[in-house]
Amino acid sequence: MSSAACLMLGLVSLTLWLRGSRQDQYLLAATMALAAGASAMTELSLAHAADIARYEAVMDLQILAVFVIVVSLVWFVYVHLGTAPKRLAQVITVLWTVHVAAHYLVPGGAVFSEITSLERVRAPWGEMFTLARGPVSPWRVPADAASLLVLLYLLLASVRAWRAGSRQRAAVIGGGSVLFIVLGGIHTPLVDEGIVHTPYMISFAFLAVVMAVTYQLVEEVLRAGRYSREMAMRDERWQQLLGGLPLLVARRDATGRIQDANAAMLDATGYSKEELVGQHFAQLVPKADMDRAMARFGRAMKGDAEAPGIVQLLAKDGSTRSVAWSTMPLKDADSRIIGALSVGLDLTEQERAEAEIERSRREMDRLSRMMLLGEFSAGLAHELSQPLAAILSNAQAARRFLAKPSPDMDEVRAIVDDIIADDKRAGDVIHALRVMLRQDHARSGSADLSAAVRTASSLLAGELRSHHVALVLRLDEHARPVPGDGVQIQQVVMNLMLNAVRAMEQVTPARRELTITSRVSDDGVVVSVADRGPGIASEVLPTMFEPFVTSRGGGLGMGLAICRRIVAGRGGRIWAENRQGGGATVHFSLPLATTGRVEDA
Amino acid sequence: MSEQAATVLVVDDDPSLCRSLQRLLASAGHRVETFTSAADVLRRGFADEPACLVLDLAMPGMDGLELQSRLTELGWDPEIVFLSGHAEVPSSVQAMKAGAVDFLTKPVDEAALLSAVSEALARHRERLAAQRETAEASSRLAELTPREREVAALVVQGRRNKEIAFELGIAEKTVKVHRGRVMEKTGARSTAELVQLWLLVPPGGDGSAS
Repeated sequence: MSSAACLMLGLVSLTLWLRGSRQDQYLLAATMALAAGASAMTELSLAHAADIARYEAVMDLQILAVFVIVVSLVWFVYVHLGTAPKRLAQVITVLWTVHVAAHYLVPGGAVFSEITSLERVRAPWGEMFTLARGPVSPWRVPADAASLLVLLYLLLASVRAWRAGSRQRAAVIGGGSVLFIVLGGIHTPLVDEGIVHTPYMISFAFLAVVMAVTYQLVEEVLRAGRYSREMAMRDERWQQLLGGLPLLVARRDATGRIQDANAAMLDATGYSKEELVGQHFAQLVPKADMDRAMARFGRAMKGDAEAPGIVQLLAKDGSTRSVAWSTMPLKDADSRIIGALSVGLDLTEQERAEAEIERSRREMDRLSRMMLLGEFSAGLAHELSQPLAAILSNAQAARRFLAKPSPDMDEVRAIVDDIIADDKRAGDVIHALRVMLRQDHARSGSADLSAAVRTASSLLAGELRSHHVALVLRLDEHARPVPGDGVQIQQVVMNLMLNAVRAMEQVTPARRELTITSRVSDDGVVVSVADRGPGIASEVLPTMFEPFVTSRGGGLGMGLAICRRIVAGRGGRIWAENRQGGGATVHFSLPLATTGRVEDA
Repeated sequence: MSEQAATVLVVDDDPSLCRSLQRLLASAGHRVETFTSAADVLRRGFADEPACLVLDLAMPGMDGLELQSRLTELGWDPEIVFLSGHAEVPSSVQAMKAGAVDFLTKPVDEAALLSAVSEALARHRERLAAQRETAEASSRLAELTPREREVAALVVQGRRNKEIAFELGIAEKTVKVHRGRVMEKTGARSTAELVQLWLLVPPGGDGSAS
């Protein structure tokens, strides 16, 4: 009966081993159970052995079965609890091997030196059974010692497991081991010594252990089942969470095919889940970003998590979205990379908002330039009327010369040359004006500072003239490009020049001198615009670059604030100080443009 | 009166505009000099020659209006035609009050410029002629003796010889002799001419100095 139970339990364990993850512990448990079944049968045979020869033959088998049981038990506990001392397990294995080897090699065997007689004995419960009698073999010692060690081993492993928190495992294994020890380790020697008159009941001990072990394993399998159900539920919750998340989530297999995607991802791409799953991710990447996307995926497949990077997402309708993706490799239980999980933050709306801000910023810049223009429009008209006046007078003079009987053609040629030059001059002013009022200006690139100063000067020449301001340019000839758009730097220079002109309105014309100096060093360029006006009041100095701070009526107080924003936007600085000998200087610095810079959208 | 050679001085800080105006005025037969700053005009100075300035209103340093007042201070008063980039009412009023011939806006039409320049030169010639007459008159009056001057002063007041004689306490015959010398020295052919001559010379600025 116990044999059948053991065999069945052995089959259970074997099944678990075969169907499960082929873990060693299932195989060990199965081996132990099957050996226990065998042991139960041999025990029965011993109890009913008719003669000594038969008894010895069965005994040979039983010793082998017990050996297998003990060794499997020891190693099962070692694997299952993970807290058993390995050295002890090895010692037990060796001792028991010695015992078994001795049994087959020593005449008479390792249990009895010699079986002298068989005895029919009545068990306390009335059954008649056979017991062997004879001197005890000295080779029993290793097995008895090993039994004690097994007791020690099991207790140690259980206590340690208990302490480590695996209480159930410890209780089951520990409880089973106590039965084993009581029934097997103590009872069997007593029977052998003839002190107790019962058949061997070692198989019952083993049955208990096998049951305990099997119970433990089945329990764990059941728990794994529960766990996987729990996981499924958790997965469902995950799915719900991912579904509601504003992040795009997609899972790809190792070939790059999409296996799963959340609702946000479906929304962003415009595909249904059925359409999306199975597609290769390359179909969701616009050509321009393909190399980058492939490289990122390749790195993830090598096991590296990818830091967030922007890769455009190509939707079903052909539109693209800007998405910052983080990608991490997915691994199976054996750490093989089986795909990649990507989480993306859709930046499209944000970028659109930024573009809108940028657009209104540009519009404001343009308006401020128009306001700036309004401030010197009278001077500008003068600047344009000057070449026009020269052209008209030249043309009329030419007409008069040509009306003469023998016109001086050299003179006429000189006149035409002057007309062309003046026309170009007027054209330049108009061009500079048009550039200044153009809607869009490049934010990046590099600018020629000296050219910007000269253009500003030419646009303001009329304004300077009508205010009797003499302009002195001291521009560093070692011109180096500065970052940003020349028109905006020109805007800064013009603002500062106009401020200087206004500042000198109250001083005598002979003193009205505006000096623009530029100095180039490796650190950058410093441009200084100096006037001979009354200077800046000390209480105004700290706030003069704030918006709406103005020292003259009629101004909005935006000019210097815009200058500061433009300069600061290029990594520069703007500041002011009063000059010795009267007047003020406004300086602004700009770093040098990094040469060979490529436009990077 | 023989036509003395007249000079047109073009003053504009823009060399190209200077050249174009020079050509235009030269084509109309004017002698033209160009200046790109007011200071250069002052350095040139003026002799008693018919001259006219074609002067830009807005220039760095000294502007047109300032040059106008400096020239007046210095007693050089050529006629001025102002040119301006745009019609500035306050400036033009000031310029005209200070005696400018015209105030033209750029671009300036040749007809307007040439007629303004001609008018300015004509005015200056007239003024110079008048000045010469005055100078001549005062030099003639300077030749009179104190007694002759006393007699002349009373003559131009319309007094009769008898009244003059009584006034000065001399014989009527003596008055007649003095009167004859006055007419001879001044070259006046009638009492009316003498009066005219007398009025040209500012009172007190007359021959008492000599």
